[in-house]
Amino acid sequence: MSLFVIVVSPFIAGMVAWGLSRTTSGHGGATAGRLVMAAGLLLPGILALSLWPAVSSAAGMPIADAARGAPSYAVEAAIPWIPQLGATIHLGADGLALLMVFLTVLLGLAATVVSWKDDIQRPGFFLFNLGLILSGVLGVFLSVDLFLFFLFWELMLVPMYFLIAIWGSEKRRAAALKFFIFTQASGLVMLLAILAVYFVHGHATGTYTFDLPALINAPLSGAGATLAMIGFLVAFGVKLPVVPFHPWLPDAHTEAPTAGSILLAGLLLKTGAYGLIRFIRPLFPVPFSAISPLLMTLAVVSIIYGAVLAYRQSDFKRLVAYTSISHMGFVLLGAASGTVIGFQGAIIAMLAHGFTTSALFATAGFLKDRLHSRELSDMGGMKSVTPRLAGFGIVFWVFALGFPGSANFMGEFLVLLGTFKTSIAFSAVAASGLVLSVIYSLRAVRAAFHGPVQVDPQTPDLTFRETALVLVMAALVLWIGLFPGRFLRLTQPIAQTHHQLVVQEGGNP
Amino acid sequence: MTGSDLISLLPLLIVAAGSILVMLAIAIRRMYGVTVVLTFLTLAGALIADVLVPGSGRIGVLVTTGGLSQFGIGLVLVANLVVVLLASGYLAGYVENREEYYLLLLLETLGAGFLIAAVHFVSFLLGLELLSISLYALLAYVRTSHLANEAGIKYFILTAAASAVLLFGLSLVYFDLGTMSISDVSAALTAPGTLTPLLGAGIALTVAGIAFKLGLVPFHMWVADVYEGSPLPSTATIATVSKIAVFVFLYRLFGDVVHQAAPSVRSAFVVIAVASMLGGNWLALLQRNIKRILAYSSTANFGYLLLALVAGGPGGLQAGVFYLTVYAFTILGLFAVLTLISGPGEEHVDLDDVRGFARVHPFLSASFVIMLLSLAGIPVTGGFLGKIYLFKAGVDAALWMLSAVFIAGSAIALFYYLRIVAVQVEGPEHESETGSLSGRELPARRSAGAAIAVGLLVFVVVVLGAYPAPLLSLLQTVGIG
Repeated sequence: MSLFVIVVSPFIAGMVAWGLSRTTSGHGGATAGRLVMAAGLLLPGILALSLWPAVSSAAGMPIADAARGAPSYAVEAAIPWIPQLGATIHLGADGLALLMVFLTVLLGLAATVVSWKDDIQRPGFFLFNLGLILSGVLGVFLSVDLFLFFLFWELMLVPMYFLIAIWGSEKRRAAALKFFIFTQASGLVMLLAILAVYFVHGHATGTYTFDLPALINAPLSGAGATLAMIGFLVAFGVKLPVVPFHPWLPDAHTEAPTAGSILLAGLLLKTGAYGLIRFIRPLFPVPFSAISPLLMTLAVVSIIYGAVLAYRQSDFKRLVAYTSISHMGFVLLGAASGTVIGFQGAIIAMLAHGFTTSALFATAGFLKDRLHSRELSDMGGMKSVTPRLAGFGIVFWVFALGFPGSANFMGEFLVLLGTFKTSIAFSAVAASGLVLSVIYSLRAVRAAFHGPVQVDPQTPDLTFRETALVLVMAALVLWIGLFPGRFLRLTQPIAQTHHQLVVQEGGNP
Repeated sequence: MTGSDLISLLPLLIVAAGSILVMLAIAIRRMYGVTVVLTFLTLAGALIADVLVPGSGRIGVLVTTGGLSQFGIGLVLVANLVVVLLASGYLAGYVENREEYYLLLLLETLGAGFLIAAVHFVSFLLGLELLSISLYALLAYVRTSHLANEAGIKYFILTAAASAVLLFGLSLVYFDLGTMSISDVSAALTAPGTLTPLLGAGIALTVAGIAFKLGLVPFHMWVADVYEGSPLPSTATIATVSKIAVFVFLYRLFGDVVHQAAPSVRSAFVVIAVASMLGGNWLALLQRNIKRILAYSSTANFGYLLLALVAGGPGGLQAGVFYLTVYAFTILGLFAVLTLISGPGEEHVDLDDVRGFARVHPFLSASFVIMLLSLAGIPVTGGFLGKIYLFKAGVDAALWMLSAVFIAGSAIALFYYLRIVAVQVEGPEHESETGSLSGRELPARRSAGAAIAVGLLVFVVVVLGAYPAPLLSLLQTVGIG
């Protein structure tokens, strides 16, 4: 039951917030709406916390049905939906899903806080879209039924399109359209793949169902399996994004409002990685092992490509956007490495990237609010004018470059360690990405925060709300980075299952 | 014909009696309100009868009741109930005679209902002609508008030619087979070796005539002009009622046979379907008038529906009827919103007319957007599930090529549906100029009936997308699928 509440809560909060801001005049309605939104996010957070003991104790138990890699969910709930089609509203949470729920709740709160501005137009509709996106993301993380998963997957696109197209900056229309076309077209390809899996399973067993455990227990084989897997890979590869499916990302991230950038980088990108981990590996164990080298190659290319292009950017937000391509390359590398450590590293890297990049986008938003520019050349010397803003900006850039002690370091280190077992070459090339990240991060820090003062000396520093936001984010990154054991334990079962699949199919250890 | 037969024909009888009543009422004294109410009550009564009275199968040789007939007639009645609500507000300010519009609507409903129930060439032609002749007048009803006259005349001339072709085709089929009963013709088509050149020519001409009525490529040249020129309530009825009726007939004639008929018959349908999906979507991309976009998108959508026809079997029928139902509700919702911001001779149906619509009329705009997303097949709307069902039918029947084209067509369609969505949330093109909507306020007539209709249609389309199980089990109980 609590799983259903977790999924629908942001959506309902968004509806209420929209209603409140329409019926109440002035800023009071918008403020009330934001408070409702925050409450609608805290509720899932509390419910997810209450599920923690169950999930965490299940994580210590031996894995049921590990032979086939069927997921074992510590908490499950299902109600009938479209029996004629074999679709049920089936939600389930294991350690991985729970971590993603926490990430969603926290970044949802962050998005609410950064958009807490008086000059924002139509705040009610903004909150409504926010709630719809967050419900879609939560649904993606908790769905066990493939049809339900696809529904949530598509559900977030339209409100995200509106978020970019209405509240974005100058070139918002083109960016929103590009985002929509890329994600929707790839979504259609995934739909074909989902239906292919569904029909093959139905023809073979006589029961037509979208339920993931049933589908995993009767896997596809042959060329059909490879084709279906590619369908999933295209959709997840666009979201992730992996070169060459990335062209939508820099535009969408740059033109979106700050809250939109946070949701895009922090959550929508994670849905791609999550899909890869949750669906592709168990559904297509054999072809996935076969295609792993190609995926790892693309991951390494993304790491280097994103880092090199990030170095060339003069626009703060665009720079952060390109670093996302680089960091998500590490996630893909770990997920494709086939080792337990690489796999767990990918999950830690997802969390780290979620918090760090969102904080950097928030910083870009703070700078934009104050300077009305995103250009690095318009910043300069911020550290003497706005010490708090510059200080946190530097902290997050240092996290982003993988400073030891941060979650980013932990995630990327584990990924490299896991990859090293599979292929020393990939690991070595990917490690050079860490060096590149130092170069672009320090360049950004120097250009934006150091040097001669180029900005109005009266520029206001961070407000209380803004400081609280970045402080919490920094604390979370350090917490995960310094004490990763708890998180590694939560994700142990799914990592073990995947590793066993790799071993069984005769792939690399 | 027994008493129970008469009872099971009650929906059609009520519409027939109602049209006589309305005609007499107009003859006695012109009272707009009374005419509207009488028409509405007639259709509502027929709908109630349709829901309550169980079908009793075939009656005589001409018509059949129950099952597909019952559901199709119900759908047509619902559609025209909405059209009456739309027309009542739309025509309220029209200077010339307004009452006959409703008489024509009732006659159109009767023709469509008869066509849906038809299992014989005679009843088919009777229904089709009643439907078409009412439509000529409905399309050109706003005589003061050149475009409406053009639409009426264009439709009249082309449809008359198409009817002649159809009639010739049916007579060739009769000449060859010696029967006018649809079930006999269907049976003959599946038997091996019966496809003589004469019968083949007859079938080809028949298919051409029906494809014309549905606006399928390559018989689509009339749709855009007729949609654009006709008054909005008439566009709504031609886009739903007439197409539903003709499609049901097409299904009766070919639904059971296409998947096992001679390859030539089958490939004819495949070619028309592919051409309609791709051609319709491509032409829609080039339009800037919402009515013209919807015209070509209807071509594409009936191309999609041919997928269900070619797939055949109970699964194909159920998928087709589900999609047709959702499509009808969606299209009615779109035209309902457009009607609310338009009047005779001053329709706001250009893309530039709805620029910034979301700011001026947020609720109407939201309804419009939801309907467009349903057409585009985005969850959680009925259109999404409808597409899934069609696709499922295609894959089940191993129609890989058609299914792939269907997906490709749906992907192309995203562009133009999204364009209509985008323009509503955008501000004016340039910051200096005020958008057409903010500049001169849209009328947004306070037509309570049409507004309620919009709300109900949005509700239905969303519910069909979120929880379709009731409609699916309803289809199963009336014997569809």
